[in-house]
Amino acid sequence: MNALKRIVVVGRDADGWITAFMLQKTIAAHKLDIELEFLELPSDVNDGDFFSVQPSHRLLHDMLGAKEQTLLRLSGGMYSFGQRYNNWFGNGSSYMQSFDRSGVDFNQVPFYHYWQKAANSGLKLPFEAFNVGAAAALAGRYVVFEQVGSTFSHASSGYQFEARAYIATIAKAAIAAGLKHRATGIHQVKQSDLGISALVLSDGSEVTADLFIDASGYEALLINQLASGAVESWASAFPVDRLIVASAPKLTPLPAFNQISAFKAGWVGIYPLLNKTTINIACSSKHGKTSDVLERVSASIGMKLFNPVETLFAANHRPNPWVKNCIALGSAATNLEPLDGTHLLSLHLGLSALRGLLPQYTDCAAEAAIFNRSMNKQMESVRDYLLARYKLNKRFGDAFWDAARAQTVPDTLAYRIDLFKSRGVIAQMEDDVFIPEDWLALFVGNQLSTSNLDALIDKIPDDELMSKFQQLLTYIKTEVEKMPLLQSYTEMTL
Amino acid sequence: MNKNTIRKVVIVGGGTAGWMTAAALSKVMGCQNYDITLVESDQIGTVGVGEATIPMIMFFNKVLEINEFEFVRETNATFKLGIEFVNWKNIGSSYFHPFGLMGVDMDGVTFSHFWQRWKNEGGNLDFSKFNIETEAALSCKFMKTDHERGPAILPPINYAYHFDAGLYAAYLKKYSEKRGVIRQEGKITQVKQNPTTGYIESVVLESGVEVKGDFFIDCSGFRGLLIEETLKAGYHDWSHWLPVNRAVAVPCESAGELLPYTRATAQEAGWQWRIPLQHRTGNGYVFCNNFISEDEATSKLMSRLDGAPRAEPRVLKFVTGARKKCWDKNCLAIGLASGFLEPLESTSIHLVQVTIAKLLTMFPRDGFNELLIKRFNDEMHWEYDDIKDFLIAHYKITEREDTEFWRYVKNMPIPDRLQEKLDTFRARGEMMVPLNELFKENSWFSVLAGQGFMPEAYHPVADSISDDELRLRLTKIRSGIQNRLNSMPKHADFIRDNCASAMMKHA
Repeated sequence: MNALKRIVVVGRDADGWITAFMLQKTIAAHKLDIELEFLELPSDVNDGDFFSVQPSHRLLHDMLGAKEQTLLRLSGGMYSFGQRYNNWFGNGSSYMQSFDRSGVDFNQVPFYHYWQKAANSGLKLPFEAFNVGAAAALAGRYVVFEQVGSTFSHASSGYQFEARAYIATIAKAAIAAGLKHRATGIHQVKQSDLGISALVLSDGSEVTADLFIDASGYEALLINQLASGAVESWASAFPVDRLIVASAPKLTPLPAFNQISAFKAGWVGIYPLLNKTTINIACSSKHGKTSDVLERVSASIGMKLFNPVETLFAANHRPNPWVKNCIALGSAATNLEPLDGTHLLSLHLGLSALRGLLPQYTDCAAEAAIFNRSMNKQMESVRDYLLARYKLNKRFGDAFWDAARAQTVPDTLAYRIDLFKSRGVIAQMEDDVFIPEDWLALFVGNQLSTSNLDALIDKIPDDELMSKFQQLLTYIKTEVEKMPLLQSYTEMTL
Repeated sequence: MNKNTIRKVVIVGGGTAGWMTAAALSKVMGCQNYDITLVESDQIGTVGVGEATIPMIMFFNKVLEINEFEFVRETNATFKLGIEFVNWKNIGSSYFHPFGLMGVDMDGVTFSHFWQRWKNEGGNLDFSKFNIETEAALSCKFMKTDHERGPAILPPINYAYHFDAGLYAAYLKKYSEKRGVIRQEGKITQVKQNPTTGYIESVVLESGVEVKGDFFIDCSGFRGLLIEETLKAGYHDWSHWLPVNRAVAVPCESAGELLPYTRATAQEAGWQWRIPLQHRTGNGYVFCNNFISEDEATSKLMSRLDGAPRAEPRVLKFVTGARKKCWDKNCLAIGLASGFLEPLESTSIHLVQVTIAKLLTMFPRDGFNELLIKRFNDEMHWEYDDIKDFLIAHYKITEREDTEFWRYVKNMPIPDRLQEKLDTFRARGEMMVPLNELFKENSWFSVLAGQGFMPEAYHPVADSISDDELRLRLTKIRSGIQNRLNSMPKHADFIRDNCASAMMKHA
């Protein structure tokens, strides 16, 4: 067997730079005898583009050795301790989803059951009232606990970044770390039985490698050339085909959460950044003209929108992101709308998987099979998570939303919904990306419930339960009041 | 047995100082045991031109049991959180001297030491961001915190007032007369002294009426009718340190948002005040006529108003300094009769009130004790002297050299005691201000650091906590301030909701 000697990353922007930098770090850390080259394609990033990412994204930063605060400062970034979903069940409805759990289990029975019971008997407090992360987000706080190791909260934050600055910061760090790179274009992809044999660059020169990484984004320059690398459309499940990114002035006081508001023909996200606010509209061109949408959105959120840039979008996924000696990562592999901080998520998951499977030899069919299976499962679970929001919407009378609700969903999602409805239980599956508390918050927030509550809950008398609830609320209130405002925290640290 | 031989008190002059004295005496001493007469003449104008005060005015109003909102309404007052100093360091610079604390004192040393350490380690926020009064002022916000809901985790918001001094005097006149003070109209033409002791026995009015008294309070203004013109108490002239000697004042229409602070803008040969009231804005150019003529100063002032003038500008003359004896024989001077310090730190009314407080503390029962009088005069001297040093510092540490005036003040010799203070501050980041001085560490720090006179070191106690602990503490303080700021109403709204006068202009 031939040892793997040379990797070429063909990519652009975040996908390209992060992939190349991560591989560079891995090779250096393990002193691997592998030569790496990054062929940088022209940028696709538009003015105002942003990334909204999950708390798990900090693991990617750890892999890159990036310091959180420096990165946030240099890329105009901001923390978000939750996302508030408005109008998903008709205008005026709203719930806050944080990156934290709600309540504590009593007698090994999930808190949800106790809360549902109380709600059924008239308790008016939403599920997230028992959630430190949600309470902190609503109060505009940066989560820091008075006592180390809080008893039941593990509240954390996602981030938003300005795309261009974020990419530039990472590119600078990668170059400083010695990444070999050149800016070029791909003229031709030459193939052999092993997959890709060589790339002909725009200057006519040829580049060979044992492993080619396609991080070229939506264009998928390499993987698209390979027979079994075809893409599968997910557009029938996700009706959004336009993304419009615009800017608005900074919000004061600074919110500690993003807002995702459904409207007639899609949804609009409001993302506070360090120096401005980013507005992202995800909509369907079949349900309204862009100009009308912009006007309506601007009026409904009460903000004037600057520099809107529209791009086409289609949700898709590549069932075989690793074909022979070519691996597609990031947007070249999967594209999902950024409804739940899912920017760069496919990239992050792909890189994590690749790091564990980095082949030693040029024959890497075994690694490819494991990678593809895992990536499929993971991306399907992410797809199901986003799809659940569409499926469970209650915006009656809007064609866009009526169709989303009426659609048949994949069996995996149908099973999760049915299981929760029938027993109040969250299904856990192999390669789940979102954890049970995320699913629970999504389901409860989306007004899904079960009448079949756990029988054990009645062991706690009602008045005792109420006093436990009260204790939780008091604890949360006290803890949150001691936290600094996010506005102050970022001022002091970024 | 002691007997009260001092029964008849005569206050000469009915400006702010006169009526403040009358009000305090009638409230504290009462008119049952004392005859209190105030002699004033409608022919003599008062100097008060829209006054800015400092928080100590609260004590005075509290002693008088004045209803705060009624007082604000009656005097067209606004709230004042501090003073913005514009162009003092250099042209284009600005800083704020707030009332109240910066941050929170920790581990026995003031916040500024912790801030200095954090700043040295790369901290990016100005110290003023840790002061609620500054933050509120620059956002044009105001509220009182004595009824703030929830546990008192933050220090109260400290404030004073801007008010129409004429209306304040009128308000106190009503107050005093209700309590039995007799107002005697008339211009004094003669002061009668005991030929042997020199004690003042009476003042004779133009009408021929003679007003006799046991104790005379001279509130006659700059001239010092009794204390200087009659008793020749003498005057410490400080104009070589504080050379301004004229002020031209003019009110103008309100313009822009109602600011909860005084603005003091350094100009070519002095500085200009801007004092917002409910119904108008008070303006004045304090200058030195060795460097600019009265006419030129007046025209400069008129060209720098932000609203249409509401009256003819008028010029006041003064010499900065203090009476060598504020109390001599049976005559005690209060207000401008006792000395003059430019209103750069709004100390005029405060000095009136301090003098009144000392008068009440040392009020004689059966005759005039020389030791007591000496003690009084010493204390008054300290009051003036400390404030004088603070005022000089504003000029001395300027970086400006753009006019002869600024070159003069920047290079002039200063009192030794002030030099020691500045050296201490430079070396230690603190002044070690004696307890009895009016302007405390926070004030000195705000002004010196605000003007770029930064200390070279801070207290070692500030090194006793970890970097993370330091940042967390500072973040929490900053957070408390921002959180409170977010909940504060606009200054104009606060007044409109609580204490607007009929003349309030801000819609």
